[in-house]
Parts: sequence; C-alpha cells; structure tokens
Amino acid sequence: MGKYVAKRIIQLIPTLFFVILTAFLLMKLIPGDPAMILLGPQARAEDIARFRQQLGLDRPLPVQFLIYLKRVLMGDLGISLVYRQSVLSLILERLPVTITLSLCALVIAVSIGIPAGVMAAMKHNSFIDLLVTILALMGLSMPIFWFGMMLIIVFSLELGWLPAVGLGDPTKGLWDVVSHFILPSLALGILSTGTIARFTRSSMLEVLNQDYIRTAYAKGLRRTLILYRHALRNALVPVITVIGLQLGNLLAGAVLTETVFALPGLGKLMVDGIFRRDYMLVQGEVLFTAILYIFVNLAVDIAYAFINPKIRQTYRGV
Amino acid sequence: MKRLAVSLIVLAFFASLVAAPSYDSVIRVGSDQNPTTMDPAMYQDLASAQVMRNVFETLVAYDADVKQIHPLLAESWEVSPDLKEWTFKLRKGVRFQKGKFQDGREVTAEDVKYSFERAITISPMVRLYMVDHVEVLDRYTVKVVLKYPYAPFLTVLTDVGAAIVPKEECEGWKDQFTLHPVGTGPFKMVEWVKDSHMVFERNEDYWGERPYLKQIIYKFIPDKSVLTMALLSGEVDITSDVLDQDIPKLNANPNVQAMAVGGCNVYAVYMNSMKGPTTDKRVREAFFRGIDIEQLVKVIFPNGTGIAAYGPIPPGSWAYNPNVKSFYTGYDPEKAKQLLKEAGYDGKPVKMTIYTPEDPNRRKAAVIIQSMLKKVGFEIEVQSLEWGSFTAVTSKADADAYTIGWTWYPDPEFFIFYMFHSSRKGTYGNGGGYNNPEVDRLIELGESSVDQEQRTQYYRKAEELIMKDLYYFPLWHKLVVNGVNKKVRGYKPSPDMMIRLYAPGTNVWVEK
Repeated sequence: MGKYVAKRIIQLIPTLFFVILTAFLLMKLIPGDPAMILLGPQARAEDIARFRQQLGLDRPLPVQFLIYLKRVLMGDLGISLVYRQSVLSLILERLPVTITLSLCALVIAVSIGIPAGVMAAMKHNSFIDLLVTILALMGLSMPIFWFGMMLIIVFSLELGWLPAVGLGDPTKGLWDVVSHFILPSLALGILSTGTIARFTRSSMLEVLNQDYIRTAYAKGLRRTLILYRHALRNALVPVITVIGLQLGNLLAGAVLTETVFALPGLGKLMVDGIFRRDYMLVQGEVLFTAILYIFVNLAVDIAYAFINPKIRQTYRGV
Repeated sequence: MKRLAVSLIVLAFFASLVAAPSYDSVIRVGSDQNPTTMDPAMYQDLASAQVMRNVFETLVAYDADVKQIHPLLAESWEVSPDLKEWTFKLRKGVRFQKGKFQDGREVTAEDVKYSFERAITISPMVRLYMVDHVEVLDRYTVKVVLKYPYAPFLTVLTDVGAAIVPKEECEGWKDQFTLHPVGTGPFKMVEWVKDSHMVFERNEDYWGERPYLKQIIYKFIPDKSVLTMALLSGEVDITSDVLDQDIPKLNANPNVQAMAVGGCNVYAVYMNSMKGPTTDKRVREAFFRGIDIEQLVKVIFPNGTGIAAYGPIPPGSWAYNPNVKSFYTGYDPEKAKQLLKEAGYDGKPVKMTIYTPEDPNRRKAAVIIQSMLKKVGFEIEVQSLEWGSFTAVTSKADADAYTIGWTWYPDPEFFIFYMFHSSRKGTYGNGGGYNNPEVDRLIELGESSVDQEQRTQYYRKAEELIMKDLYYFPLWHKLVVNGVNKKVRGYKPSPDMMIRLYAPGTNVWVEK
C-alpha cells in the first residue's frame, strides 16, 4: 500500500509542473497589457512602464517563468493587483466557505442520489425507475444559475422560509448559519445528485445480475440481507470514485453558485478577479484550484485502492 | 374654513410626528460591486470609494446632485489668477477618529500635505498627478501648487482618493491600514467580511451635523437580479443598480420604489479618423442618418432606464446642454442612401467592422445598428471581444468603429478632454484618433478658467464642433436607478452612481 501511494505521489510531479506552466502561459496569452488596463485611462506611458517594471513584466518570458516557479514552490502565489494582498491569503480566507458549500452539496447529492439509484435498480423497468431516470437527467442538465434563481424566488421571495443571499451571522445562532447554506447547497448539489443516482443504478443492476447474488437467493437468504449486505456493498465501490470526482466538479460549480447566492467563497473571488482583470489573482486561483483537484483525485485513488485490493495487488512487488 | 385650517395644522403636526427622523435607524445597502480596499490612496473602483466615504473626508465635497462643490474639511479656498496655486483654509476643531496610534487629535495643514504626498506616491492610478508640491502656510492654511493650470482641480479633490488621513495610523498599520481605516468621517468601520458584508457605526465625536443613521450595513450581492430580489424580500433597503428588466417587479411591489436620476455616463460609437471607409465624411453622415436612435434605445431599454444621447456630455454633468439635439443630423435613410451613392458606393455596400466588448447592451446595439444600416447600404460585421483584446485593438485605431462606454466625474473635462483631445490618441478614450485643433484649443481654454459659466460655454462649443465632425455617434445615457424601500427617508440617487447616505444636504434615515 505504501509503495502504491508513493508511486502515485511521484507521478504527480510532472502533472504539477505542467499545471504551473499552463497557468503561467494562460495569463501571458490573454491579450491586453495588465498594467495599461489596471492604471486606467489617465495613466501616462511612464507610469505604465514603471508599473510593468514593478511587476517584472519587462523581463524575458523564461526568466519570468523561473521566478514564478520558484515563488510558487515556496508557497507564494504573488500579490493581487487589485487587493494589494497576498493571493494565497485571499484564497485561504475564502476556502472554508467553498469547502463547506461543496461538502454540503455532496452530502445532499449522496443522500438523495444513492437511495434513488438503489430504488431504481431494484424496481428495474418500473415506473419508479423511469421517474428516477428522468429526474436524474433533469438534475444533470439544469443550469445552476437558473435553478438557483428559481430556488430564491420560491423559498425566499414567495414562501419567505429561507434567506436568499449571503452568509449567516454566527451570533444569531446555528440556524442562521445553516439556513443560509441550504438553498446554495441544494442548487449546487442537484447537479451531482443526478450523476450519482444514475451511476448507482447501473452499478447496482450489474451487481444484481452477478452469479453470487443468484447463489445467495438460491441459498434462501433474506432479500433485504442480500440487497444490503451483498449487493449494495459491492455496487458502491465504483460509486465512491464517482463521488470523489464529483467533489472536483462541485468545487468548479461553486463559482456560479457563489455568484448567485452572494457567498464569499473561492468562486466569487475568481469571478471578481476576472471582471476586475486581476491577472495575478486569477492565475493564482487557477493554479490553486488545479492543485486542489489533483489532490482530491489522489485521495480518491488511494481510498479506492484501500477498498479494492485488486488495485493494490498490481503494485505489489513492483 | 377656520375648522379646515385647524384640522390641517393638526394633521401637519401628526404628520411631522410620524415622519420625525430618529437617531437610531439602521440601513442595509445592497451593492452589486464588492469593495477591495479601505485605503483611499489605493482604491480603483466605485464600490470602495462609496464605503470609504463613511470613514474619510475630503477638503471639498459634492452634494447628492454632484452639481455644486461644498466646503468640507476646508472652510474656504482661493486660487491664484494663473490657476496653479490653490490655498485652502481648514476648518478648526476637526478631529480624527480614535485609533491605535493616535487618540483623536486635531486635523492640521500638515495632515493635508502628508495625505496628498502619500496619494501621489503610492496610488496605483497616479492620483493627483497634476500636483507639483504642497506647502504648509500655518496650522490651518495649506497651499497646493500645480504643475500646470488646471481648473477641474476642485473636482479632483472631491474624490475620496484625496481624503485626509492621519499619518500615525498610516505609518503604524502600513499595508494593514486598509483593514483599520481611520479618518474624520461620520461613521467608523466596525466589521468587514470580505465579499460578504461590511458594518459601519456612527462616529459620536463627529464634528458636523449628527447623522440620523446609527448603523450602515452593506451586503454585497454580485448578481443584479438577485439584488432586486433581496430588496423585494426586505433583506436590503437600498440597491445599487436596478436592471431595466426588473423595473416592472419594483413597480408591482407597494413597499419599494425605483428612484432614478440622469447619470454621468455616455455610450457611443467611435469612428476611425485615420483609416478605413469612415475617413470619408459622407460615409459618416450616412451612418448617422441611417440609425433611428430613439428606436434603438427603446429596444434596449424598454422600461426607460436609458435615454437617447445626442452628445458626449451626460445629463449628470453641470455642463449638459439641453439643446444638444439641435447639433444632431437626424434620422433620414433616404438621404443616407444618396450620400453613399455620392461617395462612390453605388451598388456595392460599405464594408466595415464594429468592435464591441462583452457588454450585452452594447452587443445588442451593434446588432441593431448592423440591421438598420443594412437598409441604407452598409455591410457591417460585429466583432465582440474580451476586454483586453478590445482595448488593445481599439486604442491603436485598428477598428473601423467601436462602441465606447465612458463614465467619470461630473466635470465636462473628463468627457471632452479624455475622448477628444488630440494628445489622447492611442488611448481607449480617443481610439479613433480624433483630431480637431479648434476643439483642442477650446478644451485648453476650459482647463484654464475657474468660472463655471464660462467653462460651460467652452465645452458646449467643443461638443458642437465634435458633433459636426460626425466621428462620434452617441447612443445613450444610462439613468442611475436605485431600488429603494419606501421606509427610507431623505435619500436621492446621485448621477455618479454613488449611494450617498450622508453628504452636504443629505442625511438619510429609515422609518420604523
């Protein structure tokens, strides 16, 4: 197991280098001079030159990259042009909101998606199966932006049950905080619910057709025992991978959700950064998110290997 | 009759009881823009400027109409005949808010010198670049010497970027000053959760009239439609910007109203004066005559939050000319066709490209222009570009035409100089390369006079010449529209989009 983990981590190094290089080049490829845009219409040529020099934009590209690489390796993502604050500190300030939102959405997705998928598989080709499939497809194809708006209109504006936007105030009690997360988590979670339900359904169907299930039935075991002990356990193994990958998607989906619900998370920081043309911030955030994604994937792979001994075996004695 | 008079007086008495402002109201402001800094020297955006005004004050300030400049920290001022030396007498007894590094000491001329020099040195937008140096004459008198005569200097001083800050706090906190802002203003910042909300409380030691508001809470909601929903559901009392399509929703709700004022902004099409088909005046005139501007504006703003523009100076500016429409060619498609024929485009269309950034309204406008002008003989391609590419292409006069959006101080200088002076060629403002020596001369005259009436004449004359040259096709001025809960009292929107809760002549409160 240790060897497997080590190997997976070493494999990450070229990936990370490539990610850093891409983040750097992406920002260079974007047209327009950041100095000119940031200094605004009244700036004179000498101000722009001074600003470019301050940012090191006047140096050759490979030199700029080496400086950037060295900084990134030391955990320095640069200084935001607009906020004049370290990009990493800006990101870390907002990370808890995004993580909370993504995890809540994941909990919603899992707790609706898995039972729905299991039910659909057990009542294969029935009305329920059809309903789950249709709903899952709707969830998958619903734009977060639109769905979020609809949630606000129904639950805040019409019914007045839940607050529409912003973070709760912890001094007003736990409910205030929780209530502010319900609608955004639903809006975000609905996307993954569909995926997880569909995946659970097909995985469960596959398992239910396996010989050992038939054997279990033949032995006269109770149906519920067969379903939950034997079938579900095995069916869930691939679902876990999907859940892990969904976490990555949720982090990405948070960009829109946070904008609709005015939550101060990474997504909102990114959108603001793009609109303000804060190149350093966007670059830093792209990199940070990519690294986060890579590590979530690593964690999923390791967890998967832990659950499924077959994968570990491949690396034994290598 | 007598009875009626008595009952009227009684009624008026009760009405005044109901409407009497109290000193304990709290207001919640919803803003679609998110402040980035609380350090006046560092700010670059409207949202930051707006919240900073609670804490910081300038020597002079605009009222809510942004027409009149009022004394604030300066009681009076004088300017030398050459418009280069500006001397300010400071108000006595104004104290800074208490902070970590000073205990509410009095503001003196040294603070003005320090604040201006700080703004010149560290401001990323090169604020106060026209200032040569600042002299302290005595404890309450300060002289600002400019590099060249500059009439709009007072307007520049109304900008919160030129606010007076305490040296001890700036040096003590260094780059953390933005998180611990201390000024002379009517409110103190007590909480700032980035991207989420901000809380200000009344400064009980404030030198001026006591604010009615005890607390101001800003909530930052980036999506304008959601912002309107927050107003309708009562989560906020004022919203920064109402979309045209949301106006009916506000009108249908008895608790809120849309308040509007002519804005300090202009949207237009700028044509290339250096190359391409638009160098021919007949082509430009055909362009002007081929577009039904009233119709275009009606399509883009069906609920009336934009009005057709006929010149570059917006209605929010004191130099706005109510007769500006008389310089306009008018809509006449037949004449347009004939002009193109004269210009040698008989049978073949004028091919040109209009560039537009990713602003939905401007993109829509470009498409409407494309279809309107097709009927008179143009074949227009619409290119929508991301902002960086857009400014890169347009500022180098590489575009046949581009849609420009411009918003700034209410002084006409900022709408005429930056867009039409020949020295501004190669910038986004004058990306068409417009060059008219007579316009240059009028602009320079406008810069070197302090008489507002006289300046108005210079700029209006310049505007007339610009419109006659037909390089600049004005599209619309957007109204500044705030969504306001009817419980909010004493508020009016400002043409520069700033939500002013406390300003000369304004002291907002909220009814219970």
